[in-house]
Amino acid sequence: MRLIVENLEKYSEWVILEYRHCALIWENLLFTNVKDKNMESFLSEFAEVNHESVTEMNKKLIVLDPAAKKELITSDFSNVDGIVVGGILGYDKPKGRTKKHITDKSDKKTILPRNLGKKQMPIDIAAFVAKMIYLGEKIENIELTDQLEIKFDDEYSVVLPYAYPVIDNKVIVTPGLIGYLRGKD
Amino acid sequence: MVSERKFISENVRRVLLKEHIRKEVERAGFGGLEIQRTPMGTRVTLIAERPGMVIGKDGRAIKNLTETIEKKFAFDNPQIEVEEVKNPNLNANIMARKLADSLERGWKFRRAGHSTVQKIMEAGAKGCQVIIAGKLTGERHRTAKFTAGHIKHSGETASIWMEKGYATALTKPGILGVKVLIMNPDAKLPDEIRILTAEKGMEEKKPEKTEEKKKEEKKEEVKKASNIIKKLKKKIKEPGVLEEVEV
Repeated sequence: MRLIVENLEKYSEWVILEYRHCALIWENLLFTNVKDKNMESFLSEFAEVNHESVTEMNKKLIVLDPAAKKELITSDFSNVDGIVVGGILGYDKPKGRTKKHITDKSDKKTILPRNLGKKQMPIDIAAFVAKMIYLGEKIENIELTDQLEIKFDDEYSVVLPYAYPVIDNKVIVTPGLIGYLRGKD
Repeated sequence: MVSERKFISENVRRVLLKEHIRKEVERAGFGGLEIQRTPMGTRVTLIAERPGMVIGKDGRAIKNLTETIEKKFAFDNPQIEVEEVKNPNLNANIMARKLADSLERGWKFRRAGHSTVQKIMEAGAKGCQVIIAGKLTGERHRTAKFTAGHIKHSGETASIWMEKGYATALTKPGILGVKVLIMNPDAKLPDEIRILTAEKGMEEKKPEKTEEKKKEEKKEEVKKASNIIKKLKKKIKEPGVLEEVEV
């Protein structure tokens, strides 16, 4: 099964950390809609990169879209070529941009829009949860955080309004994210 | 339903007035607003960092403001009082606005947040929290919290001693929300116990009466009363004499 990440965000350290994490989760990985040369050269080190958008590919694909009516289940993977994560985070509340940029632009006969619940997930975490479902887990059995607060010291903390999975009482976050959020300035 | 609507419309009117005044006196350092209905009209107490700017030359600015309140918001006979903030660093609204201004000027959010907390704590606050939310760096939303000292979020202590201030900063990636919470330096927390020393506050307390003593006292009172009644009866029996009876 192939994971396709449609690149919809600008080049940033946070996005790069998530893309790198995606490569650790799914071996067969493709990045589409990569137009930035810096990003292309970086991503090509660990995944296949395509300039074209996934909406132009005529393949049977699952599109992970929070606005989709049905939830993703393991049997959805049986008749498709891959799964698409439309990575675009930004606001506290989702604005339905995956629907606008991917689902609405794709051929409705070939795509299978599915959601991963109501919570907004980062790109790599959506890939992580999708992989768990692909391996047979049910979405209702996956515990997710709502507002993750990371405390760096007594004074400074950061709250992320995105969902992260909790496995064995440990929150799974993007490797390197805590260091990035701690910052230097 | 009519009374509920009245309350809602009255509160909406007050919120709109507050927002209007906040914009009007932004340069003067808006520190808060209190609206009170009096028999004479409406008293609006405005707290500002620089009251002179609110009043204006020959009181022109405040006169215009009064007229606007009367016409635009339909408040009866508004009387604006301007109070100067004693310590601007302990006013949540002023600190939130200052922080938003520094973010708009390009300060890094961590530096701005830490320095705001430091200023508030140096001014003597018992505790404070600064929250900056939005696209702090890059295209993704997150919320940064800077906390120092003691903070209460709920309960009576929070409603009495915590002051909240809000502001928005317009930056290139988008609007940042700024919230400042300050705990008053004079705040007395419920778990703070003060023991009075014997010299200053403690007085010798009389031991409480026991129930037995109370009963005895009652018996004595009844005895006294019966003696008085007996004396009275004797006096009444002797005709033409009615002397004072000791009670």
